[in-house]
Amino acid sequence: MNDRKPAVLETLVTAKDVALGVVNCAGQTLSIMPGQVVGLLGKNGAGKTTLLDGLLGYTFLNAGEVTVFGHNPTELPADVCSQIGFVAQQDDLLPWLTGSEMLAATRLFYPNWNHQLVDRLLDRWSVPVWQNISEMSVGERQKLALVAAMAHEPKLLVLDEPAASLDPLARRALIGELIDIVADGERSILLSSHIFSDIERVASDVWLLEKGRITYQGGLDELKESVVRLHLTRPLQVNGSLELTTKQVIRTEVNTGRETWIIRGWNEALAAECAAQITSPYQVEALGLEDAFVEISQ
Amino acid sequence: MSLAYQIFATWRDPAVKAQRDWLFLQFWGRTSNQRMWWFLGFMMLLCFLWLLPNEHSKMFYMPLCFLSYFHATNAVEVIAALKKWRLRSVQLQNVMVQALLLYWLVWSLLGLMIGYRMENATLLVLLSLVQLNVLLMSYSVPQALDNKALNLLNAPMLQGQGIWAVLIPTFALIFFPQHEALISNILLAATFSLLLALTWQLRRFGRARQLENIKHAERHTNEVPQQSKHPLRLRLRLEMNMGGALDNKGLRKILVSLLLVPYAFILMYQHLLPASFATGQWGAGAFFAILTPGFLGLFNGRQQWSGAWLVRSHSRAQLWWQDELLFLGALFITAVLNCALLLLLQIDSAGNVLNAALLFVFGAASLRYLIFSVPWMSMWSLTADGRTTQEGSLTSFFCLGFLWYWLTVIWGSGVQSNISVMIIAFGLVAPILAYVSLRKALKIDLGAIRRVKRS
Repeated sequence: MNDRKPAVLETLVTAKDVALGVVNCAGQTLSIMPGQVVGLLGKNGAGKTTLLDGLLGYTFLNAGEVTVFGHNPTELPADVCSQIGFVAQQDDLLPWLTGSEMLAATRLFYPNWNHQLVDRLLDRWSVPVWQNISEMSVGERQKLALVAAMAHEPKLLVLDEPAASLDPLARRALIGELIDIVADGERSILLSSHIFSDIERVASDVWLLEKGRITYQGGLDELKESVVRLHLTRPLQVNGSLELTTKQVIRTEVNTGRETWIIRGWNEALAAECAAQITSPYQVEALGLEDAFVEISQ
Repeated sequence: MSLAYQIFATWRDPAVKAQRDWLFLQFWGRTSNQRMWWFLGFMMLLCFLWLLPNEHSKMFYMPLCFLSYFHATNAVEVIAALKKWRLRSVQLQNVMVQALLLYWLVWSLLGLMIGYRMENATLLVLLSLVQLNVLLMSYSVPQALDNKALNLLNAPMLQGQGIWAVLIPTFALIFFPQHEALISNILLAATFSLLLALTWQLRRFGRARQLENIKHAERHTNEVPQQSKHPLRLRLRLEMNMGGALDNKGLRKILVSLLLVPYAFILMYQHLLPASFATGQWGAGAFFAILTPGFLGLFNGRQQWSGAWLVRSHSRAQLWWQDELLFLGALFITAVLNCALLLLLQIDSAGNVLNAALLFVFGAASLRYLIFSVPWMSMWSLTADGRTTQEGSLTSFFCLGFLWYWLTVIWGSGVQSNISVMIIAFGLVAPILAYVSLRKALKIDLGAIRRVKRS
């Protein structure tokens, strides 16, 4: 018992067999450990926001079990809530308050509040805090929501498309802040975004959500390395069978004198098999995260 | 070249015409929906005017003036939306005056129709007074309509003050009919004064002197961060529970919906309706009936639940309890205060006032919890399970309309035993529905509320 307890406490979020809305992760377990930055990737309508709603107790699960800091997310104690920061795609700010009133109001509910961080972010992002929130632009509201969610230095920061409405400067500043946040190795971030360059810069792990199921959960680099384009010259000359490699081919493109295999699950064994069997010229192209995502999603 | 010559010389200019037509259209509503509703509103009122006998015409003083006032504020918003004074120019002045002339022409025709039907020149003058007053505001202090919370001339305050231009003359005409001639002459003089003031303001349109106002306003805007004070925890909680600001505008909204509208209605009804209508069972009952929709509409904190989750309260039961505590507290206080006022003003007998107050308390609570218990009904486009549906509003409207009908039939019968049974029925149903609505709220989808929220 004593051996198991620290392991449970260490995991910030655990989700088993989650099913709600379009999300159906039966037989799958998701977890976020301290210091981890998880990028949640998926096409529009894949269920990213729904999954985040389920993980944070906004929506009840149809099936499965989620624990956040060891608690059911729909019944979180106040001290656990104060360790979570959440920025939704559609912000939840109170439109009748000014920006500074909103921050002051949010501060009332948190024992810990980093004034220096707030001042720095407001200054850096030029948030017009004197303006009524209803009069702010979408980007300004997004920045204010980010400041409000980060100011209490939560152990778990959940961001749903945080950079969608930000200008490039503010986006870079946000990524810089996120990198600073996780630098101590104790705080974690779950980040859903369509901007793959941001995910590549900050995420250590990736959850790939396709049609409601997690099809990849693991390191970002491993994902990038596992998806390659194998460019072959036609006619293809092989010594023996390419059994291992062909099993992993998810798509092929055939052009005059050239053939391309998109392989998911590329590893050393496959590389060795190709080197041993293929005698005609060929080339292995490693992909960036965006290209890998596009190839997987097609 | 005189202003009048410029205006008529450029009347046929295609560029000016296009701008004029656009502005003219905007005066009648910023969207096609708004324009349609205004049109329907006017048509409905005209139909009533045609159908009712002339001796009841005084009933229409207030609705006509309000309609005129709110329509004119729409024109004010259009003028104010022209980026304060910065984009104003002499060229734009011509377009603006032309559009206003057209607008004025249509209003005059409408006024003439109403005046002809009601054989009442006072009303015509009253309508002009309201229009002129509001338009003068738009020319004198348009920046005040754009910059909020700067000084006494801010927009909500200005509109709030402007509404007295509607209330004072109409109340004077209603309550002092013996001085109608004098009041009409005062109104006529005021109308001419306003017309002169408006002409003077038109000539100042776009003049550089007004740019100083902008600099002044912007300096104030920069000072706001230092001035802004942290809201009190209690005030914030109340605002979140109510789903709106408790600033001057919010407090005015509460006062208007809880006091002004029902009392204005009941006073008008007592003074204007023929005795045969005004006697009988309706006094306190009509008052609380008028009060109920406005009161229910004040408490829409549920729309803020998604924002409160993880921040303010950490369980759905807590969110529900905090909202309902405020609702029930406000319900009780409103009922007691209005009971005392109704008795003080001797609007109805003590028995009727008590019956109506009890019916209001249990009825309003039942209505709220009914809507929050049944998934196919909705309030503020929000159903019991947190989803939005347009059909919900329609079905709620029909079901509640039906309920309302039976309620008025029983109340109107004046049979005390039936009324008592109705009150007891609502009293029994309210806690049961409250429990059901709590059970629903415990499973509410906060994510859905957040996704559809329009702040």
